[in-house]
Amino acid sequence: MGKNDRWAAGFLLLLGVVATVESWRLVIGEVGKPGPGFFPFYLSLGLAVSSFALVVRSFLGWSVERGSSPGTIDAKAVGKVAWLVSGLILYAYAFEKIGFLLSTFFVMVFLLRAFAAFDWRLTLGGSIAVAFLTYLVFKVWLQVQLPAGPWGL
Amino acid sequence: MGSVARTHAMELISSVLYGFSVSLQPVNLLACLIGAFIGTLIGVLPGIGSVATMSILLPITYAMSPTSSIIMMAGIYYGAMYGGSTTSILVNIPGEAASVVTCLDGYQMARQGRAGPALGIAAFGSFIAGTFSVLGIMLLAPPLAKVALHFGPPEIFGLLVLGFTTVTYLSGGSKLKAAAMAFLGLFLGTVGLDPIFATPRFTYGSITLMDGIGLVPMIMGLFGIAEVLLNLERGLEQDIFKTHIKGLLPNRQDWRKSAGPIARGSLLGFLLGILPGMGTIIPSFISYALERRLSKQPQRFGQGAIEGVAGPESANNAATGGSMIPLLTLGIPANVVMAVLMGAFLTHGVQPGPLLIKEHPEIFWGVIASMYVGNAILLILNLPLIGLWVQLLKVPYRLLFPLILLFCMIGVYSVSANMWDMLIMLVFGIVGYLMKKFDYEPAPLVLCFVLGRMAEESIRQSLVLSRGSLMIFLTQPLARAFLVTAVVVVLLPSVLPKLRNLCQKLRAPRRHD
Repeated sequence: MGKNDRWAAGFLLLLGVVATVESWRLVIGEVGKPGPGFFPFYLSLGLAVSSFALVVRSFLGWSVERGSSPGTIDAKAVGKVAWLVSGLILYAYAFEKIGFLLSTFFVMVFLLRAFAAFDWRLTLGGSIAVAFLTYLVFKVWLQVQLPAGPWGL
Repeated sequence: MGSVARTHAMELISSVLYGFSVSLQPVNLLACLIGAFIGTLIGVLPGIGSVATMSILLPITYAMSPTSSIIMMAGIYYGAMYGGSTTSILVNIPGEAASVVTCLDGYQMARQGRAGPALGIAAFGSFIAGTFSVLGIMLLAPPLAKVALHFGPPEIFGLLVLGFTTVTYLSGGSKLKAAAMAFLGLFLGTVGLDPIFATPRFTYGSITLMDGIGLVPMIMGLFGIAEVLLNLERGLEQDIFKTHIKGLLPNRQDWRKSAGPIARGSLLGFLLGILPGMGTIIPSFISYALERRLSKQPQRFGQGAIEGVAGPESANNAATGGSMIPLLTLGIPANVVMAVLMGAFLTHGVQPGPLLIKEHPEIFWGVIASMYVGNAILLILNLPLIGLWVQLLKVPYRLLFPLILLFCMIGVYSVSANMWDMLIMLVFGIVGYLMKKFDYEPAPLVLCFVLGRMAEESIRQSLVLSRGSLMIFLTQPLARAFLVTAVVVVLLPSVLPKLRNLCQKLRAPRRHD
């Protein structure tokens, strides 16, 4: 548990340090004439200092303070989350490439089959229905700008 | 003096009447009804909160007028408070975090066959508290907005620092983690063009990032996507509801026991709701603790005491009204829901703050009056439709989550027809999931992100005004007062126990004497 906490704080520390350096590269200016890097510099410094304190605390075994209970990371769960997010990233790319209707149909097949464990008949029927209904609601009724694919769908 | 007071009273009454004339226009009434209905719906359904719903629906409101869209958004917020109590009482699952404490006695009442009175008192208590908080807004908001008109950059910066501090120190869990999240939120707010020199910062050539990180992708990711990821990990099974409900009206004894808790919960919730970072959860817990302490039979609490439902339910509804005050009068959101509401204001080109009442009276008074109308709608919706809400609890999560994900993806795309917003949302979804895993609070991150730009502008303007002297924050009385209060908020939790110990040590020798 402490180890997980350390990784999280370590990542934030790294982010804080990189952000401080990047802010430094912008012009910080003077107190009377603050430049574009002025505000982000002090903020990223604050992030670096507070996450450094978190790292130190985790090494000293004070990671779990009152009211704080970091959860465990289960490899199986992470795999499931990664699988789902990968599918959604692919959907985001396909959205503009093959159009709203087709990409939505495919992502629904993916979600209903792989995660909701529907049988193939329900998966295909449900995916077609959801793709058309969302098209009607968003494109026709709410007139949201949705991309059409190469076949005009 | 008397005539001045009379003029003010007349002005207030005419403004309130104007607000009702706006909120009762058919289109706004429909927006209020839809908002209250959707709010109750998502309040009933565990696994999707008001923040995620409001951000999913935010792009849809573009086609509506600013007044209608804000009325609908506000309706979702207080509707969710009403709906959240239903699942707490019936199945011991809080639909909203603010209804957690209602589980303690509400569910026990349901198990004893008194689900009806528990649901009834929750609805009536919420209505009374909602009414009280609307009256409070009407009386407090206009004078506060007048005071805020005189705020210059140092005062605004001082107030924002106070806001950041209270948000950090009032968040549950580790204060240090909350502080890190506040810094991260403020830093993320600086991504995009510099507000004064228009220099690109941390954009790395991305056109999407030139406008800064969008509030909608961030909130939808942190609250919508992350919640689905966590629920998927926990498993998709859920219990089927089996309780029977009869007689929703509380009896005379129930009313006698609940009158005090409702009154105290309303006042407490409203006042606490105004404070930045307080939200609706803490007031409901404080109300529960207060009622337990005041009760002659505290042992009844946790065993089905109706006071344990009436007080917290009133407090969380009054807090929703209270939290509107800083947004409407100062342009500062008191909690994450208010940050989304601020996003709704900004996307319609309306800046919430002290000028709102003057520049957009139809929005200011219309929204406030609609909250009263909405509370009445909710009372009518909630009680007769309890059967429908109960049926909704049977909808399996495996049917809901693909639709939630799909609506998030389409919703975020529709903001600016940009595929990159979908990817930014997914990144924040993973960040939100990991934050929950490692016990980091998202509220300080979001609130500081929203207010970051205002804070940067105010500090830079103050420093230019003072020619680089930081003393400007201490020489201006109001700015100084805000900063001193912020320091007190930081020091109080560590100093208070030491002072208490010191007092006890000083008293101890006297007892020996």
